Amino acid sequence: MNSAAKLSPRAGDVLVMVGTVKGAFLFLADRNRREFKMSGPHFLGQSVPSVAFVGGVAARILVGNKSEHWGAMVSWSDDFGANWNEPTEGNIKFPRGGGDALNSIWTLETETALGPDTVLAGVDPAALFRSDDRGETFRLNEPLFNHPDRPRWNPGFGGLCLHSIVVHPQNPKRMYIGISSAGLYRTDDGGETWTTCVNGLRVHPDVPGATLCPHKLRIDAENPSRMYLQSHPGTYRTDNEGRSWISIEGGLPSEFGFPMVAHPHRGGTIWTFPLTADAYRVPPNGQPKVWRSRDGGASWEALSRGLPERDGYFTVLREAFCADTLDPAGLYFGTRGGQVYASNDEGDSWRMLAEFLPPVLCVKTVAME
Amino acid sequence: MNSAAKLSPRAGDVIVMVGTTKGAFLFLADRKRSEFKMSGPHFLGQSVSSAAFVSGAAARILVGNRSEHWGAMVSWSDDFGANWNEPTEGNIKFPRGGAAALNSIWTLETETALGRDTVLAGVDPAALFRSDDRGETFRLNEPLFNHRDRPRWNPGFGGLCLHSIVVHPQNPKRMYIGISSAGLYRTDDGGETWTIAPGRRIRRTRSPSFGMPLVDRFGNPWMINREQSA
Amino acid sequence: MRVHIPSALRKWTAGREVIDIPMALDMRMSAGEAIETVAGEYPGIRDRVLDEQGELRRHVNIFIDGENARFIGCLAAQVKADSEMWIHPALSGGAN
Repeated sequence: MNSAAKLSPRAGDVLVMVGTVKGAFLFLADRNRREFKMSGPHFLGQSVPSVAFVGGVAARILVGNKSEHWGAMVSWSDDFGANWNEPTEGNIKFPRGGGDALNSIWTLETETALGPDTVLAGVDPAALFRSDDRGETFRLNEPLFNHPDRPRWNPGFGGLCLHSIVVHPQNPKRMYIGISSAGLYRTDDGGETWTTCVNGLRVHPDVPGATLCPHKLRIDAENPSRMYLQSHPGTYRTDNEGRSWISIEGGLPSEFGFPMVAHPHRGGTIWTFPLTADAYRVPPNGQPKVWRSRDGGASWEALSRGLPERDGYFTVLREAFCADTLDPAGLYFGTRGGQVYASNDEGDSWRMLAEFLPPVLCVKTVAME
Repeated sequence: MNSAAKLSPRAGDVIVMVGTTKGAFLFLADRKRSEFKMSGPHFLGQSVSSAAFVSGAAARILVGNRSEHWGAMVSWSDDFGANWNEPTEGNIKFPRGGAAALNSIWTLETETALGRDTVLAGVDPAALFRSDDRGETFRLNEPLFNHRDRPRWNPGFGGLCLHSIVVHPQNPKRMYIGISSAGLYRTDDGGETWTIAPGRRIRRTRSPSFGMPLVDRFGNPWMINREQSA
Repeated sequence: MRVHIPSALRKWTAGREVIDIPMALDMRMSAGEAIETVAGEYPGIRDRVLDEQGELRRHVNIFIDGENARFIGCLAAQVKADSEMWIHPALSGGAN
């Protein structure tokens, strides 16, 4: 693989963006997805917990980079990583005098029904920011930040992070967000008001006073009333836009895990990466496996061809597992052990794209138009 | 490689002890060092930032394990990982009423001129602890903890950690310790007094040193300056 | 009052999941005192729930009668004779 190469994507190419604790890496292949060129590390020395692609006339790669010294911000490249722009002033900031300071940017959501220039950012401490200039400047969503529930939100082990943002594919005024360790919220008026939508979810710990800790929320490609949630504990599905949730963890080896991935165009197909619960967070029995359901979670199958058969103790984080829009869908996940795995056949078989990266925090992919 | 196996070392075998962010792993091979058997993970879910071997009639493996929830301590196995002993009470603790609380155990030093049963521990926040019962109980080295330089020690990127301990091979009263980001200190009286140890052979840097001290077999101190990496 | 022990710490309470602390009906005790009482019988608990300065460990939560104690005074929070106290690792989310 050719590293630190200048990437020149063409229509049909697949780009995989990987953020790690020590920088970002970009991988590019044609639609065969056999040979990937790698470029990076970019932002060496900074951690990159979120990445995103902004399409349209001028393609842009966004990163939510974080320097342990100088803070976190959103930076961007308009030439596929050859050059990067950092904002002069921090572009995601909490109001002065309020007591909150940005820790890190957990997720960047683009290509939504809000339009090609809009970028949503979920951060720690839990808050939602919105940009309408393709990620250069952002505004805080005040109604969520000032929500009356906020004092009861418990910081989770990873911090109080807003990690999931889902915009309804046809109705941009409807959005859902997920916060560890607070719960799920829904808005029907573009973010002016927010209500919880957690009926049916289990709390953790199972103790009076504990709060909810969802991990990753995704929407079904064909039925927008249906969404899938990997929570702590439990794996869930809603069929009524979040009004109620049912458990779909029957058949999975563990009720714990971080990511949830939904097929980009086939309804009812989802993937997870279960881990042993709570304190351990490693693949059950040291056997890393991806689990896939084709029926919305009613049944599951284990997929591990090409993954280590034993002594595999890596973790896959919630932002580090994604699918591309080709057919069959390609899957990509990165591990805390520094590997990136890819599948061209919806998970039936896997191969390693990279082996020796720093611990991976996020993986996103996009097919060039 | 056979994992989670019971290890039964024999004379001449080589053991490699590996601490990770989610547990400890032990590797064993004969002197050819071609085929290693693996055992582990031990202390799954805890981070194991230090490990050491205590030899003698009854060999012992020590780990400095840390649970994100329940704190850090030194645990041990007397049967090469088949069973582990955790102390009932934390065995490395700072004095009550002060401000310091143990973050993690950076290094465990054994097999020194202080004798087989003595274990030295370097921790974060920077302090030196000593055990004379093969790692079961420890005492704080007060003169270093109360050193007049302490208020000027800056935490490094990895914290204010005492990461290196070197005992002179012939003279156990002489020891060197390294603290990030404070410097290299030396004692000639077994830890009663400590002085900063620049020495002729050590290159001065603009910032406080964070190198690793070594003592060669003639007893001369050397320091390797190295970048602190995350 | 009753103190509920998390599964990770039950090896230090001889496997017991719930520890009863007898209290007179009009008695009040702080959460810190309740933990000390448990630790008096099960010393393995003390250093795992509190650090050496007696502070609640950063990633340990205590729930008292349905409230996270960190919102009601932490170790100073009051417990009554019929209180239920849960000790639990703060285990959500994570980039670990």
